[in-house]
Amino acid sequence: MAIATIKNISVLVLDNEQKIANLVKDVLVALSFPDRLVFTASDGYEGLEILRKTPIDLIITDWELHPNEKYSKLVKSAIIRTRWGDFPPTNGANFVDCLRTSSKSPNRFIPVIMLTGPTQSNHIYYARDCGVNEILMKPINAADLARRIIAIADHPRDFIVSPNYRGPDRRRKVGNLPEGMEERRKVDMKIFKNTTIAS
Amino acid sequence: MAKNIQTNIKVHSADSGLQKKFGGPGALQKIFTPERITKAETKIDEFKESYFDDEFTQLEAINAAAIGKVDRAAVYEGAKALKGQTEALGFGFIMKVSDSLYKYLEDKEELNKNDVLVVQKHAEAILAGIEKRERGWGGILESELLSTIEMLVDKFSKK
Repeated sequence: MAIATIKNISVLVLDNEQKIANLVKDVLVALSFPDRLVFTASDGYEGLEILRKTPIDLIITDWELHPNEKYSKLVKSAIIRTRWGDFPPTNGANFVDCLRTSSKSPNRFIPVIMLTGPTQSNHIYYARDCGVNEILMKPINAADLARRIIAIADHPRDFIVSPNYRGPDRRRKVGNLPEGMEERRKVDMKIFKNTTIAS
Repeated sequence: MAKNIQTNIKVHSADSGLQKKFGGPGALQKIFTPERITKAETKIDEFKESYFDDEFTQLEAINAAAIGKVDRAAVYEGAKALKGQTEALGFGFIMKVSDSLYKYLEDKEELNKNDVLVVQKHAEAILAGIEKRERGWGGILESELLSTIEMLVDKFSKK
């Protein structure tokens, strides 16, 4: 029996280091993603340009995502005005923030996996609050990458749009509460009702 | 469809479009077979094996720095590239040293005699790490080298 393959999923890989972007692409192709549908970009601007021209289903970005030579001097002095808004995506999280919030974003809901260094927990919180779906610790590991892709596809989360946050629901815990414990908002509602009746 | 929870918060229901494109619930578990995962891991291992043998132009600047010929811009770019690549590949020692070198040079436009010494020591440590492919590293030797570099950085980065 033939083993199932991935036919029409397109992926964008962003990494300042072209060698690493190509390695991630090779890993994806080995996992059966079609070679012609895995795109690479070396900074956020190039990535946004690809997103504008090509329908992408999934993004894999590195935390380190400095603008290329032509933007780096501008970024040091001021926020640059681009077609995507006043965003200098100086790292992967800024890039995701730009995707989630810019009025000119090509796709606000696109799922994003972020690669980050092993000891940078502050990056993880920041990336999560910028709307990253999944975080993958370096060094790159094929099994972990596959697990993150499965998590995104098989356990999609609600997408929240609030004044302070746009991105996948950050609450992941599902399932039953421990025995004897009630959901907090139900307890709050009871208190509210009792207070209203009493007054 | 979006529903309002409070006046200014909208919740768009989870989209299962990607799952459908992959072939439905559980399809990916069948696609990502152990054989494919192993093949993908092999790609990473092969890349790691040949990583330091391939033509790596940034290393020229590090090699030159190790013998005292420091081109600040080239070393900075080389250290930055090495840091990014070795972090992704799991070469911990080289990553730590190149990260330290890249950060040390970040705000230094001009290098004095002491800065050149700091760069040279970093370059020597990186080359030693590359020569050994980090095999058999760790423990006292690695921590001694890292603490020496840390002391140098502490001493000369303060103005």
